[in-house]
Amino acid sequence: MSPHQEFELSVETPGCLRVLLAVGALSALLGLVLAPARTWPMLLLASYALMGFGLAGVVFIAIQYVAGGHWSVAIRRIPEAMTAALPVGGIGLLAVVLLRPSLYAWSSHLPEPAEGWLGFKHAWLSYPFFLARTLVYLLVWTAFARAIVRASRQQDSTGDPALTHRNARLSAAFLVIFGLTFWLASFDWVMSLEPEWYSTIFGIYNFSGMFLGGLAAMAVLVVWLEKAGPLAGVVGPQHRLDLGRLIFAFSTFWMYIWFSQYMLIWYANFPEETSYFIARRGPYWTTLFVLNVFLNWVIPFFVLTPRANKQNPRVLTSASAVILLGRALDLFLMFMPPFAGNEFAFGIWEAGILLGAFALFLHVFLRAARQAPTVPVGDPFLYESFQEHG
Amino acid sequence: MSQRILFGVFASEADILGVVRAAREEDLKVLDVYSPYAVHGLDQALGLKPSRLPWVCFLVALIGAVVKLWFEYWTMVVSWPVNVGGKPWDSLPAFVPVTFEVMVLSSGLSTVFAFLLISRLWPGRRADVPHPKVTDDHFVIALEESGAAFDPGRVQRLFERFHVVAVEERLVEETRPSERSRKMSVRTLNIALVVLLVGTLGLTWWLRPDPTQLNREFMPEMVRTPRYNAFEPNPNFPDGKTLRSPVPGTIARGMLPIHYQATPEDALRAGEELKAPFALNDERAIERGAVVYANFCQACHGPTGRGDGPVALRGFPAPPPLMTDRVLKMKDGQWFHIVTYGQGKMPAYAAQLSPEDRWNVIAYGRALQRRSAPPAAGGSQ
Repeated sequence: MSPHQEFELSVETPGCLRVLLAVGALSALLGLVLAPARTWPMLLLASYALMGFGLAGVVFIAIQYVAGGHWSVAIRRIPEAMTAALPVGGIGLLAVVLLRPSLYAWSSHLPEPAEGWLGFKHAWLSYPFFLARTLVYLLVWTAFARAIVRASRQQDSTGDPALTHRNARLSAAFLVIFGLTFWLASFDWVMSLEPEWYSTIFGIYNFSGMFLGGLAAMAVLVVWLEKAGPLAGVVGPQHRLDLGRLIFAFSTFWMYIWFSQYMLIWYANFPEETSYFIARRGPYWTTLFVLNVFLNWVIPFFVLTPRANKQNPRVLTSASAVILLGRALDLFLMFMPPFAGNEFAFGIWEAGILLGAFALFLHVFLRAARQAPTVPVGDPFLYESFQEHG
Repeated sequence: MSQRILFGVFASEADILGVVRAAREEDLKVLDVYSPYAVHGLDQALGLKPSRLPWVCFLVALIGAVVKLWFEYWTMVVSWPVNVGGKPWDSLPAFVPVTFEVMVLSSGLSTVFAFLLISRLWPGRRADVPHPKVTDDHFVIALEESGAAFDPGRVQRLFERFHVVAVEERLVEETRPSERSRKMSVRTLNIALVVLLVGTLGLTWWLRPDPTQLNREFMPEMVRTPRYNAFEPNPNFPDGKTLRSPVPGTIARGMLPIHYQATPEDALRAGEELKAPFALNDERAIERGAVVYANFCQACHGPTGRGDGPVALRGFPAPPPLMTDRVLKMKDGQWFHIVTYGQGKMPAYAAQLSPEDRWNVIAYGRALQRRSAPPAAGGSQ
């Protein structure tokens, strides 16, 4: 690494991160003993969120390779390091699914097809098949993530443009496979928590939230690393503007999909579909339900509309922080109502596990970021990416 | 008045940005910059005020959304309420998609029109191209050749520092667009309008309706769908009918079948088995029952239930008063059977009264009995 010393990540792991990690681990362990009914769903949620941030990183890189987006080359190491969260979250998810299958009501008691269940759903929701699918999704995504990141790091020393072409081909294949598998994965892991309910748009809804959260995390990390040093002089207002535009667009996309799901279910008014929203409109939940729309769309939309706000590092990170909060709330609203019902509860276990997941993500991110120069020094389009900010 | 303008042609984005910044630093007057596409940072380099176009977009979007929302509210709630699937008149989620579309359409169109207006672009406007390559891959700076700072030698050196490709000097009339081009554009516009008018009239004449012919049908599949009408024979079903009968045992909404015969024995059985679905001293049931009683029962049974209604007074056999011992002892279910199937000379009221109204009128009958309870001894006053 000696020739690229200037691009080494010189950021120390903040001390409070270890404290937060300990808090997270402690509240997870104590929670499993003292309040397992609340802790297990939270662990599932946290693992899914972690995995989502990693996956968003891969999707972002893949889209940039396929679309030939050169503006992002200078900041590509950030999403590349984010992908390290994918296997970590995946292991957590697998552990929860293996150790606590009763989170999924269908795993113990599967109604007979005669009770109104479609034969296909009956066959699909069998526990061994479910585990096999979980394993396949996670392995395939991790394999693609590793291959793309490895080729990108290899380019640092060789500078071989063929690696860029190889990654573009890998990315195209990944995006197609991701589109099909993530859709099914969100049905398996999230929608089947309420096995009698269904919404065909649920996969896209999950994708929009996952990618929006990933972009917001990326913006915060880019601005932080620019302030802290490793990306100073590399990242300019143009990169922030482009990231801000993507966040703006995907915040609106999230709203569009959220509303599409809500309005169609509201309009058709089928009891088997409305059950989802009725469970989320009970006492306590209504406030969160409305707040979700504000955090994920209303506030980011109006804050990020002017161009100057997207370029302003402080405003961009504030809007991203609001979105990250909204991401947590969106997941909370997706996972918890089937377990909590009207007994809404948010306390030390929930907060501790969320903080722990946040710290774990940062920790994994920093560890991965240290393994390579903070800028892809061998990428043939790096110069063009610098040029962007004049 | 005329103006001398110096055009410098440059080949790259970085050069044009550099030369603009440098020229402004040397107090040269930059009139304009021509480029084949929007160059990032050029407006800052030129020191232009931020465009007001986003405000046009934002405000028109706001106006469009508010007006459309109001319009939907007015049509759906005030002017012509239509029941759609039992939804409330004022159904915000249903209004959102159209509001959104109108907002985007109005703000999009008005932004484009505002842009054309601000840039003075209209059909027939003569293009003002200082160099043919400016529509392809070159950039042009226009400097005013006057003012204290203008010195040909220094400008030449400045241009060369940024790899100038070509330099051109031109005398331009101050009154732009020139009289000739203005006349040209007016004439082009007029010709275009005449062609449009003639074309429209011609099309209208060619497509005039012929009252002796049926209308031409374009893609008739939507109107004439391949389907069986309700009373047509249908080979697809074993009974050969299109109209399907309800599944055996189907009960219409609001109907609860009662399984009794119109016999006195079944009336007694109903008295044992049938119970009112609500308390018979319920205020609202009695109130509704009074209306039902006045409409259907009073004619014979009389206003107080003594069997002295106008029909009875004119000679039709009078029904027994409701206060007789026998009637007082009748169970509610038996009353229901009698109202439903009739008894003696009393006809059946199943067709006129819903089951709920039958119970309501029984509630009123009980109220009548209670009202005359104290002088029960003198039943036939």
